[in-house]
Amino acid sequence: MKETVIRLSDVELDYLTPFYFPGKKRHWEKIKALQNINIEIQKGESIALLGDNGAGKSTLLKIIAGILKPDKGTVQVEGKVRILSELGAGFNIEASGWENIFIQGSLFGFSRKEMEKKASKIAAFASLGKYLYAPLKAYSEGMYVRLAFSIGIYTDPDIFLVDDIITVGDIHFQEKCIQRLEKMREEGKTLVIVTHSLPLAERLSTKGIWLDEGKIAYVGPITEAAKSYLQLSKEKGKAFALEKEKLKIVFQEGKIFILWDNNLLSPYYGGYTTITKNNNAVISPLQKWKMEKYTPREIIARGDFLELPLSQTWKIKLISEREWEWEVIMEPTNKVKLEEVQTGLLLSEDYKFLWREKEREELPYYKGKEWKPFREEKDPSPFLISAHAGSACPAILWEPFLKFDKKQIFLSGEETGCKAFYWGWKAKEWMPGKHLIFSGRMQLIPPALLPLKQKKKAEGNIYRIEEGQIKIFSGEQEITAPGGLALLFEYQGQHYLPDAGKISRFFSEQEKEIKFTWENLPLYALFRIRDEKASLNWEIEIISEEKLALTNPRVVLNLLPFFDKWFTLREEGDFSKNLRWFPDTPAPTPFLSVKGEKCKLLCFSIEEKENIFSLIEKKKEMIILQHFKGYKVSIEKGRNLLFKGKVSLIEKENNFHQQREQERKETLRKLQEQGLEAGNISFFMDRGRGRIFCQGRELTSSWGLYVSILTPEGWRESFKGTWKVHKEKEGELVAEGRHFFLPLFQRWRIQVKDNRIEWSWEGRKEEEFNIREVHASLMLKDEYTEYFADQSNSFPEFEEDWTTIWEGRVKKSLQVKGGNLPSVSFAGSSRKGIIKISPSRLKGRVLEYRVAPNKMKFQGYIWIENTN
Amino acid sequence: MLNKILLWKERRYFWELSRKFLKDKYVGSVLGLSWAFITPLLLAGAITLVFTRVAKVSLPHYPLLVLSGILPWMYFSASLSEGAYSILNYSSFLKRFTFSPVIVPLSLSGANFLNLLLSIGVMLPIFILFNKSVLFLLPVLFFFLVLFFFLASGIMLTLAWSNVFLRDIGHLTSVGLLFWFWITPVFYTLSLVPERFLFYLYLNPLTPFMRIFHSILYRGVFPRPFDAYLSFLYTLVFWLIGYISFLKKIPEAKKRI
Repeated sequence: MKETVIRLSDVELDYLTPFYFPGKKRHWEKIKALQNINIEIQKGESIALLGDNGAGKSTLLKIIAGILKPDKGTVQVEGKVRILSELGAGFNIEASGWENIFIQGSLFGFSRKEMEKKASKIAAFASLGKYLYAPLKAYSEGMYVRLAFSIGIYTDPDIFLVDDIITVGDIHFQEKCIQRLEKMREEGKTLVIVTHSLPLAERLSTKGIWLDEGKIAYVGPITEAAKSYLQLSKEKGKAFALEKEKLKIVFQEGKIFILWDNNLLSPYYGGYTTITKNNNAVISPLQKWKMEKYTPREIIARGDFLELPLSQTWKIKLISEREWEWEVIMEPTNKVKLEEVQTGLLLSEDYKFLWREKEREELPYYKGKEWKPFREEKDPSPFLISAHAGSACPAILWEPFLKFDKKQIFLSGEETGCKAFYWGWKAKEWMPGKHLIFSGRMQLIPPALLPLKQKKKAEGNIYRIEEGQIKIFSGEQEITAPGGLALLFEYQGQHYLPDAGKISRFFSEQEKEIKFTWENLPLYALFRIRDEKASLNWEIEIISEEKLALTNPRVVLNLLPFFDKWFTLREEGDFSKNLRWFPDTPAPTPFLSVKGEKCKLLCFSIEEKENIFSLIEKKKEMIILQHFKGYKVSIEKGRNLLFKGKVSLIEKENNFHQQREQERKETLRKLQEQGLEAGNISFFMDRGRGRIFCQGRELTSSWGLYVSILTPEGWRESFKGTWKVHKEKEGELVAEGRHFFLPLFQRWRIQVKDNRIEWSWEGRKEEEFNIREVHASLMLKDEYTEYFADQSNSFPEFEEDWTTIWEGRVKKSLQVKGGNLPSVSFAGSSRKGIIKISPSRLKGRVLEYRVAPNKMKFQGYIWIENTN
Repeated sequence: MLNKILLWKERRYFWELSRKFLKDKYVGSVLGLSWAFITPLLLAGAITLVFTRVAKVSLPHYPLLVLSGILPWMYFSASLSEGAYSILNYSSFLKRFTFSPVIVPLSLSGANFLNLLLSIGVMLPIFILFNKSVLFLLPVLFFFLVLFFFLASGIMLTLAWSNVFLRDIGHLTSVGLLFWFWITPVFYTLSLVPERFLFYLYLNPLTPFMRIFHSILYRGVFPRPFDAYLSFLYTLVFWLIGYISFLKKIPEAKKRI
């Protein structure tokens, strides 16, 4: 049966407080401490009173205790009430702890006899050792409080009221108190606690009452109350939380609290800033804060200094479930000279170790009262701080994006037991305007992943991260050349090479994130890599501060020249010495793979199958595999997933080839389905190249029908682009796409009628660029032995490079004959014809027309004769 | 209800706290409780010296007169000066313990009263030596001392709460006590006072009490009925004013401490 032991109805209480505003007479103001309070508490319930400082929690506690009488309303309390507050009262500092137990007992209304029974329990609980018999004046603050709390806890109340016990003694004693309170709760005592520690509130109580400016804002289950206290109060401009999985970042009036799995990692001020002027430090919690933006991922708040012509804007951004960023912009309105500007973080006493490279150093325990500087240095490396073994607190990596004047560590002393870490600026005059005084991010790292020892490449893994590079190994042999797996791009005409990557996050032993930065660019890239057996999955994400466009972003794998064969889905070949590009044509292809004697077949694949242009390149001492993504890729502000793929070493080569064969057939079948057919002739667009078949035999070779454009940088073939093929009307095939290396949009229209292929090509510049020449070409099989322009002639032997064998004005058409293939004639809207033979590796006869370079249009006809 | 007003239930706290305050007063000092009679003896000695040698007062056994007056006066003075600050100095008691707030100033007064009883107890042989009748008058003396306790406490309670609202009261009390000492017949008898001042002297609530203590301890005779009646009257008035106003004002005062 429920029995109401505390009933407050319509309770109101005002305080009269004098205010001494500078330069004004004292004036009294009525403060409404409590208004319209209606509470019923049943026997055996445990209640947590939540709320900001000054919300009226302690006042309410005192009213329940009968210490204060409400101005209005009634208070009914049944049972013996004990309140734990004003711990020092009633002690005689000259008398010993033992005697004081009796003095206090008597003041709580116990006879000496009754107290004799309790005294030993109290003494045991306070565990003061021999100090029990020393006068209180010899006690430390902590011992004093321990004694007071122990007495309070053992005076057998029915209703126990506790005012913020988190300040009681060291953590061991706190834990003991909390356990004792839990026991009292089990015994059916009624508990009412005031606390600022939500985890504690959730542990000790079942119900929460949230007080806000003297009114009850919420009554209900503690988890809900705590949640509403944290979240709902955002409407009042107080606590704002960003939350993802276990991580919770709470902004409250110039303080940032970091919670991990409901453990508060940063007590007291948490993350805050401090500014020193005239030896007077002003801290951010003392400013007036205003929320400017609040979304579940971002907080922007502005704080105005009351004493200084300054304001601060904080941007707090949740990046992931283990990571958040913090930016502080200071804005003086007048020129102001400051001795110090610091951004700090207080970490709880669980944090004990400071890391430097792979070594850790224990931060000393400091017993004094005042804060003590521990170290000051200029080293720009991030703070990495970890907790003692057995703590549930993750290690914290606090990494600045700026270079600071100094880096400081303070020990806060016994009372708070905090470690304080600062990034700061020395004395300086600050001009009006915006100054970025802090920018950085904080990551929470599972303790198991700290670099206690330099880890060797794990057994079976194919990669290792060394010197900020992702290197691939085949067995114990490194196969990557300098650069390893990397992201390259151009931006505003400049090539950028990344700064060495840093491991920025550990998800687990298998999953890591590596950060690459580029100097002077407002962006960075994150490589997320994940191990699997004999393969490495990677994902590249660009995080940008602004919207911009990158030119030819590409993921590159630099390999040592151990390889002598290459394969793409459709092509394959050998690396021969003097060639630079292999193959010239595969776009798109899901993978590039290479094989050598020293190394298993390596496959560098990409998940995206469209909009990708892949290239194998051989330089002197390097084989470079590249996947390009578009010419201009627009990067949005924030996160952009750019590439996703895999590097794998293939054990079963046969499977690979079988699969490749299958896929190749499948792709070809699809292409043919998309193509045109009339009579014996069929045509399809294969990755931007027109391919012509007659009775199932291909007439075209390698590049087929294509257009090439000569720019100051060299030849750019039309097929190096992305393509979308569709049939606009029956019998007309349209292929459209953007070029990879030019700001060019292209459209092909092709029709097949009987033995004639009519086609047109049109290019549209999306940006101005220089074109020197445009050629429309048809590359045909090398089985054709003769060509005909103005007269008939035989093709010469292939050479290493392109060879022009005829150039001139075309009367009717350019023609090839020979082998058992039907002869092909090629005519177009231009009269300037060229006949070439390709380099030997392409094995093609090329019929070509020179197009006026200012005209990005060409129309052509191809006749196929003797189709029988 | 009666319990609540008369604090009968809280008597234990009064007793405990009085003892505590008394102990606090002398804890750590070498002479300890002896100070309870050393102080009045020294003060009485000084006064006697001044008034017999310098002012040439010629009353028989003059030191005895001074002593019989100075003991209750010192109680009165200590109660008032400590009591005026009781709520301010012991505010934490009011916040930690749940007994009635009036217990704190009353206990301070109680501690000084115990001190008074102790010092009279020690001095008693001297008084008895001069007037054997003192021995028989002891119950009467005790009765009037208790009455005196209520008078002093009544005045003190008024000061205690009002000092919270107006801190000047505390300072005024210490200055007032200096002045009060001279207009109270502590070390002189009314016979030395010109008749035209007698009425004004009787406006002082301490006057009948001092006369009573002089009668009993110095002369060894029963107090005069007029003084007895007057002391009743004054005690009743001051106690009621003090106690009732304290109970009424203390909730308000608590908010300011």
